[in-house]
Amino acid sequence: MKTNGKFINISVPGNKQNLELIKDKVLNSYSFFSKNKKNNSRLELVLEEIFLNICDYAYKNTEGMIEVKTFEKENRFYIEIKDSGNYFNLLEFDEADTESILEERKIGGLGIHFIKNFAESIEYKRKNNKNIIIFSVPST
Amino acid sequence: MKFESEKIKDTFVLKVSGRMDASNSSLFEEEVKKAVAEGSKNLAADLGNLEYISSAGLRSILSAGKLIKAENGSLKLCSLNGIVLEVFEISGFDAIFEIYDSIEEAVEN
Repeated sequence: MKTNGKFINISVPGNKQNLELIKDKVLNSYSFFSKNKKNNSRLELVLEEIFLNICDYAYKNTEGMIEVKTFEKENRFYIEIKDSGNYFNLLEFDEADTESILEERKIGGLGIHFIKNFAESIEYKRKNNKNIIIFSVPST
Repeated sequence: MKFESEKIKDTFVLKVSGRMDASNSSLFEEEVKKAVAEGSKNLAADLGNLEYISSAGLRSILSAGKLIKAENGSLKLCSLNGIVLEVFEISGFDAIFEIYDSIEEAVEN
């Protein structure tokens, strides 16, 4: 693990047990920039949903590492998440069901719906056989 | 996440505090199942002290809501605030559950 002052650059096995560790590290890094509770919660939510989606889909039937890096640019706090799993661009997935009545409501896709709604910006790249997701929240 | 429960009139009130995420969300559904198994049909969950919820938490609340509906009961929610309220609005969950400002209102209606 490398930590560089306020920022982190950490790599963990891509399983759900490591979510809490990653949350702690990223939120601690973010705390150097923002004390805004709402942005903090939004960051945590987006991070959780991305991490779990990688474990479930990019690393479906395979194993590998998840690398998480934070940095700041132009008043935005960025989180970059890389994995070596299957091609998985969560931005391509359909939106969730947000309209059916209770009895018919389906839960799938809500995590991705939150990612798209709560991240201030988000992009996906596939490079060197890695999925790379970079998202931001305000750094103030 | 912590639970406290009490009976107000004919409503089983479940006060939820802390954080509901992928690591613990199934506990909510279990608490509701227990209450239903013990004969409660009118439930109200006070989420005023719930600080955080993710899609895993919503999954648990949805399952609990469906379970109660199948028993001809109701699950009301109250005192949502902060990120919890935002998550309910963005997911459209505010349209499928009865939501009240306070537990008193939830019990009276």
